[in-house]
Amino acid sequence: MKITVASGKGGTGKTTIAVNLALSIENSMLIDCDVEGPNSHIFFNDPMLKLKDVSIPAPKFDLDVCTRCGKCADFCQYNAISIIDEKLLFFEELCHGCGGCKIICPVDAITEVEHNVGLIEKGGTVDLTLYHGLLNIGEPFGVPIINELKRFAEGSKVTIFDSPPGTACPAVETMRDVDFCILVTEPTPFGLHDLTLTVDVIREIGTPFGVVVNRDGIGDDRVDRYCERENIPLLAKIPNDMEIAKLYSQGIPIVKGLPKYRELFKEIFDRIKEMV
Amino acid sequence: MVKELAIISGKGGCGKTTFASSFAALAKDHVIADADVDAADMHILLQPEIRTR
Repeated sequence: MKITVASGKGGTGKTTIAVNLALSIENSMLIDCDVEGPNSHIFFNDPMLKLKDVSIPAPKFDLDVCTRCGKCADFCQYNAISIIDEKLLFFEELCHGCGGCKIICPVDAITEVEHNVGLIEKGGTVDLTLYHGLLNIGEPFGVPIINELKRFAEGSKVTIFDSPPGTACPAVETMRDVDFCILVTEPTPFGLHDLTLTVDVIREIGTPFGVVVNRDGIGDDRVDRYCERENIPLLAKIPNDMEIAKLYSQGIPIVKGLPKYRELFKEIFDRIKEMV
Repeated sequence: MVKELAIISGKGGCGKTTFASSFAALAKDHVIADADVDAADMHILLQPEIRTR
């Protein structure tokens, strides 16, 4: 089974929920897809070791062969290629590496070269394997690394994906093709606002989902009322417990320092199992 | 004089919007741009009147 932990708003507790859920259930593994700032590994003491580089194919143009016909420029959905005044311009930072220009070129003027965008590391503990990706500084698209990371999910295990924040491509990619999505929010106007945006996106994607309210008690009950009105299952509430905050500030998972919370995470998993 | 000030952070939820809105409240002649186009939240704090869309 594949479960993604996501949220529109940053800092709501995605990583906390993902790590503690993975530690509370049997036969699980954890994949941190926040390739711009992975944090899950901080909860574990063991070092992350490099597993592989991630590259995307980038076109290389043979300008002696190229007729400047413009078919590749017309094809490119991201405007990475332009023909202006018989000059071919390639904007590498816009290229998504789809390889379409090479296929479309009628005179075979395009070959592909590997363009490194980041890497994947592996770590965790003896009981729980953790993978994460790191996007190179200056690279705009984390999606190729997320796609590569998702391939490490083992069919026999419960894979927990920790999503990047937001509602754009990297978050969408992490919420797609999974069995269930947990949306983490906080009971504040900001949490509610960004939750509604994420709900709009995930309904478009079609992944079944439910909500976990983190730091319950700091705000009001508007997230509860929103979920009730929208018929969204409220999976659990994590209380605004000073002991949890203390553990977090020391980089210790909740269920390691406060084992009583293991039940709460098991219940979240049981409710998800009923729904998928 | 400071002309453009960017408020950023690697980690989410650590207080960018809170910090930026507080600075905005202190500045006299200012323009605020919420560049978090995925999930902009500044309007919740400042409650601006929308003039054009």
